[in-house]
Amino acid sequence: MPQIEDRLRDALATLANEVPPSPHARDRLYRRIGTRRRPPNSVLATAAAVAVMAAISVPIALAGGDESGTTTATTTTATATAPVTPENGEVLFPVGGGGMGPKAWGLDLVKNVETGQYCLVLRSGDTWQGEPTCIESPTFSGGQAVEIIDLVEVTKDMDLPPVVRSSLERNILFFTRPEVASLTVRSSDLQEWASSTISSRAGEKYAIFLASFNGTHEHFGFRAKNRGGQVIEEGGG
Amino acid sequence: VNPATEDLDDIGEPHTEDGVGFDALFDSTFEAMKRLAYLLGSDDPENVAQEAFVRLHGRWELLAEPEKAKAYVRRTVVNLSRSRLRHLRVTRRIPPERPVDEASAEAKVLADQDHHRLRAALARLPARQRQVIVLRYWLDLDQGAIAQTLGIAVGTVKATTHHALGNLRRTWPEWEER
Repeated sequence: MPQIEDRLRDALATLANEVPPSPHARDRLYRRIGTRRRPPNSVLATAAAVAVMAAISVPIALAGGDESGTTTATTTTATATAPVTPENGEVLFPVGGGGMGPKAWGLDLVKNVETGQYCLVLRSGDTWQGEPTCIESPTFSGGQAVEIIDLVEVTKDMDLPPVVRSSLERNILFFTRPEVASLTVRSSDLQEWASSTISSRAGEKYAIFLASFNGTHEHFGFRAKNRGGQVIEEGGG
Repeated sequence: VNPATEDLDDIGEPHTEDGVGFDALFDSTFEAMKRLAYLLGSDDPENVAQEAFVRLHGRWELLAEPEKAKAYVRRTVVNLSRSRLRHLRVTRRIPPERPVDEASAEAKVLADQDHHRLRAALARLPARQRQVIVLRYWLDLDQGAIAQTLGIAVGTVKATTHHALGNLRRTWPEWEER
């Protein structure tokens, strides 16, 4: 067998052994399976909750910065489904689709106040449809202040109308540590900076921001600041 | 014998009763699937592997045969690892409050080790080449199984393997000299 193939097998086996075993993995699996939900079927009152979201327009340029301080990381967006009903679901804000109204399709970010999970729920008019997808709680590993939720990725297994799915390509959801008081973003084709609209919602454990870009969010940038205006974290995708 | 392959081949006949066969499959393959996700570049391999088994559980009635179920989980892990990388890679700049020195010191220690170099080499490969290499040389799948897992033709597997090995040879020429 060629030398390189032997070396590859050895090196891959060594690399794989870096992964520690996961005790009680099956217990965690069944807890996760248990959070899978049945479809909601009730009417949802959204207006009051939507009214609390704050929307601001911000033209932002992210500084090129010193590459020596750059780290590369991937965010986590684990998906699972969990029971969400009008009784336990608090709508934070719509994250995609055609807005409000009896014939409008939309995707709402809903907090399950019983479990603390955040779920994406398809809305037709004022009725929830199909199965939601819920987002695992952010961990802010590695000292990160921001976790980025790619809505296209998270919702890929949901049966969404095209108008909703296409709108998600323009939006990114950010979970941040609570000390993040403001988040600004940019979208860019590397030549031109665009304004973006940001909706935000602060909580005890996280702040949540929804950035809506004029086009796709490729090459987006973000900058998270605390109340004092100090940059806590910045980066881009 | 590759322990990952040994795990996968050592699964008994699943029971038709929901749960028992599934548990046996999970116990026998979960760690291997988690490592597969890791080798494919996932930053949270346990989560990827767990999600793959959650999805298998939902389809167990259709897939309650060892080979079908194993192939389904393997394919799901590959797809989840790939999509997460494609969509979620983010470059961050965090103000220097973190223990940068500690991280760089660790990196220096690892820099001379083969597996660290392999990780870098794998990261530079196109996603499809990386998948083929990991499935072939870690999971010991034959070309037909790789083609089935990735949803591509066997000829494409051969060509992709050839290109991947070529890239690794250029990255790591001493492997051929030893």
